[in-house]
Amino acid sequence: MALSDATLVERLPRDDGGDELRELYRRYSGELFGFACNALGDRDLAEEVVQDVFARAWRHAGDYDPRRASVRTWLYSIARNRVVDARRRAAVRPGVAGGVEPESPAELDRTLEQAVLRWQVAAALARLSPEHREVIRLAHYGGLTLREIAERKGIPLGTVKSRTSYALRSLRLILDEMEVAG
Amino acid sequence: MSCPTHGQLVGGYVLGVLDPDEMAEMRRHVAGCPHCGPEADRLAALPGLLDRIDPADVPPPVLSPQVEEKVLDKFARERGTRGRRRRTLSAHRRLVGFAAAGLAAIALALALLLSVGDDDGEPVYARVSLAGASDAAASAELFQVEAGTRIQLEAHGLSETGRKEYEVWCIRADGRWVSGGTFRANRNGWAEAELTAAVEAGQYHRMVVTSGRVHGERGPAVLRGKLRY
Repeated sequence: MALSDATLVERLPRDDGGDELRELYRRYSGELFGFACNALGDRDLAEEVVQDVFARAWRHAGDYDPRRASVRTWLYSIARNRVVDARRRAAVRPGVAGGVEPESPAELDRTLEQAVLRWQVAAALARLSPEHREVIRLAHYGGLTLREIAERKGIPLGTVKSRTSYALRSLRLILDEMEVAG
Repeated sequence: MSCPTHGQLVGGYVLGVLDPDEMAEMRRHVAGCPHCGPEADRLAALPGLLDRIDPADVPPPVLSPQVEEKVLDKFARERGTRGRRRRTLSAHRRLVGFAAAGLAAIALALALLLSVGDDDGEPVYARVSLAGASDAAASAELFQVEAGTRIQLEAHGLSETGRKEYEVWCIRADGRWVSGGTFRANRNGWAEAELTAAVEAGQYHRMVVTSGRVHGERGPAVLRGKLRY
């Protein structure tokens, strides 16, 4: 049976072979990278953030308290601090998106929350089947009615209707798993 | 459980992409249906969430596999370092025990203990990527420590013959070259080194790796890089 996130973190200080760290990385590196990419607009900096997050997670695993926050929240709080540092450095290094104008803490929080959310929605869509993703793309982003989609794709209207409903239900389930409210 | 008569219309209704007459029918139906009402509520936030992204963002960017290797390498390296530190500390604690009879010895042992320190968790204050004319390349992370700067360097593509020696230099803003010490590449041209240089953050902006000294003279530059604070 797969170990819980909290158990993985609890075992990190005694993790001789790196197995727990590798598993934690497998579970969270993708979304943390997406978040950092969104927040920084720079792949290289985002990769550095991901490296820092896991280095700190290992070094400070003993400080993690499962009663205070989920592992995801804890990792995001580390990532957030690393992103803030990277943006401060970028403020004196022109060329990195969003780094020129200093932001107030409240603005920064909003920006980072938006970055997390954008990544989560994009990642949830990426997990849908291609058919489900396409029907959402054509209907929501393409502005087509379900009848127009059926005509364009040459498939029965009833199929498009049920596919759209299944697509949204699946998307909602995936976002629920990711703890995305709203 | 989905509504047996209108369940397949809920998705189109939430996205607002049904024909006008079906939209009107669904509005009336949803108001009283024990299945469609709650389901439409549950899905209602999705259009707003979808509006937050550009469809071109899907799929989201994928992390390069090399990052995992770097994370695990760093982990393995630091574990080794921590192990060494623990062993060193234990040795010093034993020293404290043996020296209990003499205050001077205790003071010496304590001084040794303090000098070991533990800079785990020190923040990286800058990074540098170094490149040169050959295929060799290196990267380093720089940490502020009491003696100046700890340099954690990884290099590859270095000379594979004779475990050649290299020297790391921090070039100060006033033009002075401050040595961070030497390291050797392994037989595959790889090197990992932890060095210390007597410079502090802000005092320098460039780093150079040269070949080892010959008759005390600094060797030619092999790799150069600019710090990213």
